[in-house]
Amino acid sequence: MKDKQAHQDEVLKEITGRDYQFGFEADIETETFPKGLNEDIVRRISAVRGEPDWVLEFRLKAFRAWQKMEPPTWPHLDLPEIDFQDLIYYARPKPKKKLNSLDEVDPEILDIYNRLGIPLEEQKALAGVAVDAVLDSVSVKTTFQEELRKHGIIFCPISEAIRNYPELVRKYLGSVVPYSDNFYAALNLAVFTDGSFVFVPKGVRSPMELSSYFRINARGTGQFERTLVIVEEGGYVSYLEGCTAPQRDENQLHAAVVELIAHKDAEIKYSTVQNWYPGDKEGKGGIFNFVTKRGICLGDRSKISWTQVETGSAITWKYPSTILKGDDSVAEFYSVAVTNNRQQADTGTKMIHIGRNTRSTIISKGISAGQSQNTYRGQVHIKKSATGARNYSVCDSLLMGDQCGAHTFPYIDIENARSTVEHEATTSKISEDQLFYLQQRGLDEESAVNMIVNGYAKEVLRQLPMEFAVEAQKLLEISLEGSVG
Amino acid sequence: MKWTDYFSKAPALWPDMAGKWPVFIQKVKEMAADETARKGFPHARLEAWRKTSLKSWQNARVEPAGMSNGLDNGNPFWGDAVHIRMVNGIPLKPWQTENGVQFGRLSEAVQRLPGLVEEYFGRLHAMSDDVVTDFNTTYFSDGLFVYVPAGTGSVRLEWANAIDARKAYMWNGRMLVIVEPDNRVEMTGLDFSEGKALSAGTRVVEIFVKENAVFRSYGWQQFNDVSALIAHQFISASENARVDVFNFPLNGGLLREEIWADITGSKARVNLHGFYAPTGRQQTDERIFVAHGAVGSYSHQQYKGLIDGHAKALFNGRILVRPGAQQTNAYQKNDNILLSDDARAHSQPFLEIYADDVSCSHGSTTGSLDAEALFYMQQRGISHKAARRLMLYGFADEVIGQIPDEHLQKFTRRLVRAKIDGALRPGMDILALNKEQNLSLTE
Repeated sequence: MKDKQAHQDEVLKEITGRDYQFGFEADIETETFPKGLNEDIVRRISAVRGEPDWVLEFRLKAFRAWQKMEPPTWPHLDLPEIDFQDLIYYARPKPKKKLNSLDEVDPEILDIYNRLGIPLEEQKALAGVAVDAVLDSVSVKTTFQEELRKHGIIFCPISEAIRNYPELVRKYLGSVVPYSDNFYAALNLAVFTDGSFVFVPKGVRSPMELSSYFRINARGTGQFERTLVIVEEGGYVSYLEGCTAPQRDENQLHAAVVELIAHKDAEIKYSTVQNWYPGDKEGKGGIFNFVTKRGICLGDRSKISWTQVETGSAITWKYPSTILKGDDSVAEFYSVAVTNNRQQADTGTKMIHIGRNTRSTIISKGISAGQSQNTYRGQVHIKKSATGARNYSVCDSLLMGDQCGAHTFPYIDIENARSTVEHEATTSKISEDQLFYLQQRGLDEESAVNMIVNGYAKEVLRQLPMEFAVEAQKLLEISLEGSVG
Repeated sequence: MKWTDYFSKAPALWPDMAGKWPVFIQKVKEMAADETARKGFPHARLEAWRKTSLKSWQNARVEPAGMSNGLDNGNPFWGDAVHIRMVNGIPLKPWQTENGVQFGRLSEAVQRLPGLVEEYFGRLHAMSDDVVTDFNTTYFSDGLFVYVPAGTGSVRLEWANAIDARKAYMWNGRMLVIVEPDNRVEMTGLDFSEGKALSAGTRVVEIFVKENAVFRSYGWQQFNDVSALIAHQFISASENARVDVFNFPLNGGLLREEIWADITGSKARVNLHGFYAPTGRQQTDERIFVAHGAVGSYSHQQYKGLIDGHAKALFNGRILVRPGAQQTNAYQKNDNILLSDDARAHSQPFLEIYADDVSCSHGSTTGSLDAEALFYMQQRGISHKAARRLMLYGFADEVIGQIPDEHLQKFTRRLVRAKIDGALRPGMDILALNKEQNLSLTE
């Protein structure tokens, strides 16, 4: 038994000791603003992007509110002091002339994708995915726009949307996540530099998965994406978002905001695979991922589904949420969050039920290894008007190693007697029996653990579109396979 | 003076109000007074107070309650036990030794058993940083001390505490209970108010359950609708100790109970149960914290509630498994049924786990009465009203049925059923409930 334990420890050490595989840095010329944030920087960001006055007004309002706000202290996170005046708020690859084909894209950028195993062309051809690749702050490539346009779908960088569809952006920007929502959301609105805009008109089902790859690439810059997805009556879109980032020692702040709006009978599926640099084994470096994601089921029978696989970032603070306003609307949240080494994650969701007969499901699977801290935090709020509402939540945690922590903080607030809410959670390590059983059948320890973890996460992984499911499974394996406590 | 003023002016007010104490207690009080003033009155911006409204008491003018002479404390006891009658949290009789148990006022204990009091007093209350603990520590003028020395064996204590609500008072009860190894102690506690005025009460209880000892406690609170009690109970469980706590907040404007159980010994077992049924504009808060700090310990939390009228119920359960507390088994269950469109339930079952070889789980459900079950019974000739009662009784019985003592189980069942039926009125003679209720299926 002792020997077995020693062996397990060794395997664990070997696997969890692996370095980040996707760490490298591309050398791209970058135009940056000086460090610090003030009204002048906000004005310059707006000016350099040639924005109309109303956007600048939005930004200034948010900036002034942000100055009076404090970063949240309630998360179960050991946060280093962040000097917000020591960050660079704008960086972008030098503007180049308009691109017509992939050949015109910076070969170094193309190279990043190739080394990550996601060649643009191949993905286009194989998966039929339209890719809006965001490198740092400016979108450098948009594909399949022609095809989407035929269906009346708008899929473009938000800066372009501000130029070409100002009335749409103005109507919805900040309507789900107002600038006053929280410290990081206010900061985002003040300085957001890019992100995607999706508009699906009435009755249109997007013929392809939309995906956008975010990279953080310039040393010392934070990235402030702003994503807005609007689906009109009866429409459908599946939006994919995936990230890997180059390795470096400095902490980087990422404070994105995502807003989803689903009108009557519309459906939005939003999937994320997040694998930003988590810092090294001593917890040095890594991305701070402080994201506000929220959708609203505005119309009756609308549906929003969040799926996330979170394996990266040094610190994650993220609660993709849904406001179920329309009657009979449906929301789902599927999450796998993996923390290893010294990573910290405080993540979960909020389901705010307002409409009648609204239904929500929360499936959260946490996996902690090394000396990491993994927290699920979620709220289910059944408002007084939400007669017939239902929620079902399952939040499981898996512990690998005796130095890590797994925490569950559900907040369940019920104000309607004709609603039903069920929540359950378990925390345990991988069962010795299961391991033994699999090893008896000839699997080595690593494969056995791998199989158990994949089974554990399957409920969530199978929600991902095919292209992502493969990547997600790979990520889980790299992060954890063989970790036995 | 307003209740809030006692918080802000604590450092100036306490020396005259808290009586004379030995230096070690005076020091604790002095520090607590500063903390009380620094933290101030509990407010909604604090996570622990977000869902609890103190509006009715905050600005109420209250006088400190004394010994309230003439207050009748003639409540029921059940025979063979050590009886302790209290008024406003202070024992009426002087120091006693009965069945081997030494008990009486804390002010006497510091004279008779100074070493013991100094060793244990205030040792646990630092687990909570809530201002109410500081407030109570500042102002308590006396309290109950119970010492169960080694070799006492099996003993049962029953206390009844009458709260003077003939005028608007604030009262601050204090208890220190020490159970030496291998004893078995059963303690029941009944709080009830006399009068229709508002009262603002706090209580801090520190209980030490030593090696191999068994400690069972049962609490019922039966106040008028404008009275509040915020009680913090701190329990330390040593190796192989067994602790069972049952709490039944029956009636009161705000009944807030916090339990802080610190498991310091391996193989200790802690079971915590509660049933609440607020009606009207009542609030009940059950805030349960269990910290596992030793190998192979076990805890179970079971809290259920029926919420009616405009009432509000909060359950906040926390399980903390400290690093190294391997082979911990910890469970938590909270079930609520909302009986009215204006009732609200808040459930926060928290797990915080820093060891891997553990098995922890929690479950929480909130809903209305199962319509299908109701229909099923009605199909079989049971009236809607009776079917509803049957289901509510059954729901409550899942907690009541856990009470190991048959007599206490019956007593509790009677009280809880009376509450469910709307027959439990503040100030009523609980003995009158002493006869069995018959459940008619056809009424």
